[in-house]
Order: sequence, then structure tokens, then C-alpha cells
Amino acid sequence: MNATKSRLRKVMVDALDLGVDPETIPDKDLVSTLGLDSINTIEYLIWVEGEFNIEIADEDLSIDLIDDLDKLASYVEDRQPASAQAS
Amino acid sequence: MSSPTRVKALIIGIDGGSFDLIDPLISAGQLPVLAGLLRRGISAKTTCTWPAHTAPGWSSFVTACHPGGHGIYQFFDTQDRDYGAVIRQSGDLGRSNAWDWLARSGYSLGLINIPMSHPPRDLPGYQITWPLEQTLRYCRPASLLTELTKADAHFQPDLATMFRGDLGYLEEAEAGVVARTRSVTTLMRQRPADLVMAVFTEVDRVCHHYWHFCDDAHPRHEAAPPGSGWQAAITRIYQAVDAAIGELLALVDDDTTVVVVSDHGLGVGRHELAINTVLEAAGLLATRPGPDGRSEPAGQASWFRGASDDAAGTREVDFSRTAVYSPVPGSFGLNVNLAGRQRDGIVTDRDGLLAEATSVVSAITLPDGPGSGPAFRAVVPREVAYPGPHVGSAPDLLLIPNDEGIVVGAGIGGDAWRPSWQTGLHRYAGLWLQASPRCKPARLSEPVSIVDVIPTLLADLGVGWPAGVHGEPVLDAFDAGSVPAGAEQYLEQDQPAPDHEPASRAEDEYTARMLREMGYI
Repeated sequence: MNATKSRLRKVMVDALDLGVDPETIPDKDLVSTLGLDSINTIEYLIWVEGEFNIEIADEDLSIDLIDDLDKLASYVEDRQPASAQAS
Repeated sequence: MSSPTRVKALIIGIDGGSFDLIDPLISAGQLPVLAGLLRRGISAKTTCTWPAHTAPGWSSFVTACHPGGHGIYQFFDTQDRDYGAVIRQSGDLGRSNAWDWLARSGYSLGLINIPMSHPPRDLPGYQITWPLEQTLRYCRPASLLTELTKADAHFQPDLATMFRGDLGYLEEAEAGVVARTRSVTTLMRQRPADLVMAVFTEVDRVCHHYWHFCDDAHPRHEAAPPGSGWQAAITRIYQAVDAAIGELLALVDDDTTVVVVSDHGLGVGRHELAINTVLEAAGLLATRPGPDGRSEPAGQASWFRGASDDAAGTREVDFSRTAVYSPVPGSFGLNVNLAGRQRDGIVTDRDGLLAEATSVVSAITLPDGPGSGPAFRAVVPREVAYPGPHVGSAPDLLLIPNDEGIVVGAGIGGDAWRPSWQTGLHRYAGLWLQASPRCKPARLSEPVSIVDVIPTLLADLGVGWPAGVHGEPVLDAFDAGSVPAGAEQYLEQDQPAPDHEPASRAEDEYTARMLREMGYI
């Protein structure tokens, strides 16, 4: 889980051009902390799809999905093949 | 045999592009790339659609048919029986289109950011569509966005780059053109296709929101803040697009047919007419206390409710007592609330109500003082305005403005006339140019219909198209004054069935909010 969260932090910094150290991104309340909205949520999740080689269903799109890094990491890991999680 | 990587045709769409703006900029030496294209190509102003609007405009372009031939009149269904905000999608185009005809002739296609193209269809090549919904599935193949990201050419959809009320948007728009060009050129290099089309939408946005800074004669002219550069916003965005076109042209050769086309033009925007307010005053539309702003997913579209901060409070259209209404903002249309057709329809005498509504609308005058004249120069029954197999999905009446500086809104409450939120508004005249070894360089004195653009391109390429479309090749475009050999019309059998899931009938609040922020509703 921690490795996934680290990758998610790195992707978030890259995707949203945040210009901060990825490790400074908190686990919770990302929407208010980083000023995320429905637009850059889409941007970010496209990057997440590419980074983890998964498909995020449109019906799962929500601000909630990226407001909590644990929740997103769990979502990502559930959709990754076991081999990818082990690597 | 040509190289498999050679682009046979490159179509560049400039949403809202207009020669009225481009020609003076060219004369001033500020658009060198477009100037060069115009020197070697045929060009003309275009007649687009009534209303001059992105949705019917690009749909008419791609189908070579007027709206009655394809059934797209606005972003939303203008005859939804439940008075909802039902988004029109690519599968709602009521007939085959240029992409089908080119695919039939073996063309591979690269289609990028073309309005009304979402969701992507099963076509050879690749597509990045123009989604009006919250989705990650707006490209085909699905890996395309990731490919672009890895190539440092990430594609941002319009919804991510649009104007959202902050006039700092100009710099974002310029940067957006650069970014989009990087995406397109990357795709052209990595995924060769026979025909590539990309649409730039930033000119439209900038003209909508910066016109009053750029035009001293605008009735609401405002000096641009020092250092903002907004007084040159329109010039700047055209220059950005000009540079982008230069980058795309660098990837094609002199044998490539190049088309530049717009869906409508842009001009001064002055007034908005709240037509439903006028209908209410005339006793043709009724309102009732609204639901206090609560969302009603299965209910009527949000524009039929008065905003909570509006003078009308929270009122909404009461369709059980309404005879005539405008179905969608910007549609310049009126519907009779017909019994048996609309959910709460009460009208049985359609012709009688059409006549009454025509009389009411014809009496509306522009808000420019005594003698300013009628707001509409024609009120046209849909059977006349939109002949074709899809006339049934058109509004019952089309209002053609006398002054294109007005827009017809559908809101209720408040004054009938108010300043238009956008200081630049759409125009019926758009632009077209086509450059190829077979075209002669000239500017035609008469306008060309937007539905003629695709047949002229296909004639140039020697690709056939179905008989029965409204458009036809512009013969004056070609050196020989006739259609080059090889392009023959054919009889089309069955129309392709829509290949998408039916749109949700519930209003997509996200989409409505986005379109409202873009100024479409």
C-alpha cells in the first residue's frame, strides 16, 4: 500500500504540475489541501491509469476517489494484476 | 505508390474562425502562415447554420447536410418530451458522415477534438473526441492518452482548458493551443493517418470574452488593465493558432490537401433576450414556485428554473399551463407544448399556437431605443427552416435575428432584455479555404455553404460520397472548373445504426455547469 501511495503522490505532482515534494502531500483531504476540482481530477486519473496500467470506470469518477490517498491506493491495487502488485 | 506516412489531407478547424478578423490581421502581417495558405488556395466566407452554433455547425460540416439531414440542433435535444437536458452524442447524428465515407475508401483517420464527436466510434485510425461529460473514455484506442503523456505531449480536453470566468484565461488559451499542437504533431509522427483533422476552440472562447477589450466601438468597451494585453487578445489567439497551423503544415507536403474551416464566425455581442420571459408576459408560458434550487435528476432542465438570487426567486416553468416555450438556451427555437408529444403537453391546435407565437415574437423590438426595429427578421416554421428526415427533432419555430449581436436565452424572471454575458457572439458567416495542387488560388466573392466543404475536399481527393447529401463540390475551387476524376457519388443503402449507449435522460449537472461556464447555456 505504501509503495502504491508513493507512486500516486509522484504522479499527482507530475500530472498537476504541483511543484512540491511528493512526500509533502498528505493522505487525507487532498481536495481542499491541493485545490483539486472535477477537472484536474480527470487529468490526474488519466495519469493514474497510465502509471498503473489500469482502467478506471466512468461511474467511479468522483472527487471522493482522490480525496483520500488510502482509498485511491486500494482502488488501484484492486485493479492491478497480482504480478504487478508484487513488483 | 505514396508513402504510407504521407498525409493525404489535413483539416484544421478553427471554432468561431472568421475572415472578418483574419483578413485585417493578414493585411497587418500578423498571420504569416494563414497568409501563405490563402495565397495558394481557394477560399470563401461560408454560410453556416441558424442558429450559428458549434453543435449544428460541425455536424453539418461532417455530414455535408443541413440540420434537417442530421438532427443536431444544439448540444441538447431540442424536442425532449420531458423538457430535460439530454446531451446529443456522436451516435445521434442521423446519418453517415465523412469519416464513414473516407473509411469506406480505405482511409485511415486521425480525428482530434472535433465537437460532437464523443463517444469515439469504430473507425480506422485514432480519435480523441470532444466529451461533454465527465469521462476518461474519450479516445480510441484507449491507450492514446497514456501514449501522449509518455511522449510529453499530454492532451487536455476542452473541459479542462476552457474559460471559467477568470480573464487570466488568455494566457491559458495560448498555452492550450501550444499544448494541443504538441499532441497533434506527436500523433501525426507516431500514428500516421491518411487524413488528420484537429479543431482549435480557443479563438471562439477568446472572442466571446475579450471582444469588449479589443473593440473601441463595442457598446460596453472597457480599457484593458495595464500590462494585461487583453486589448490584443483576439490578435494574440489568432497568432497562436497561426503558429500552430505552421507546425502542422511542416509535417505535410505540397501534395497534401489542406482545409481550414470554421463552424461559425464571431462578432460583437450586445444583448440577451430572455424569450421565455416574453412568452410568460404574453400569456403563452406559465411559471410556479420552484423547488428551492433542489436538483431534480429526472425533472426538467435547470434553465427552466429561476436562479435563487434572481428577482423571480425560485420559480420554474409550469408546463402543465404552458403553451409555448424555448427548449434550450441559444437554440433560437420555440416549441409548442403539444399534447401527446411533450410529457405535459396541453396544446391541440399546433398551427394556431404557432401563429400566435409568431405574432408575439415578431413584435419584439431591439432594446436600443425608439425606432430600433424588430429583433427578428424572420420566424420560420421548422418544416421550412430544416427540411429533411430529422425535422421532427427540431424546434417548431426558428427565430432568425435581425441583429446577430443578440442571443436568445431560455431563462425565466428578470428583464426580458439584459446585456449579453459574452461580449462577442456567434455569426452566421464562417470561413473556408482549401489548398491543393488541384485548387486555384482565389477568394470567391460569393459565400460557400458549410455543407459544401466536405464534398469539395472529397472531390479533390477522388473519394466518393453518398448521393442525397445536401452539399456539393465547389466547382470554382478547381483549376479545371470541374470535379477531378474519380470522385463519384454512390447510392447509400442502410444508414449505420448508432453505436453508443443511449444518453441518460437525467440532466448531467456536471455537463450543464461546464456548458454554463463556457457560456453555452
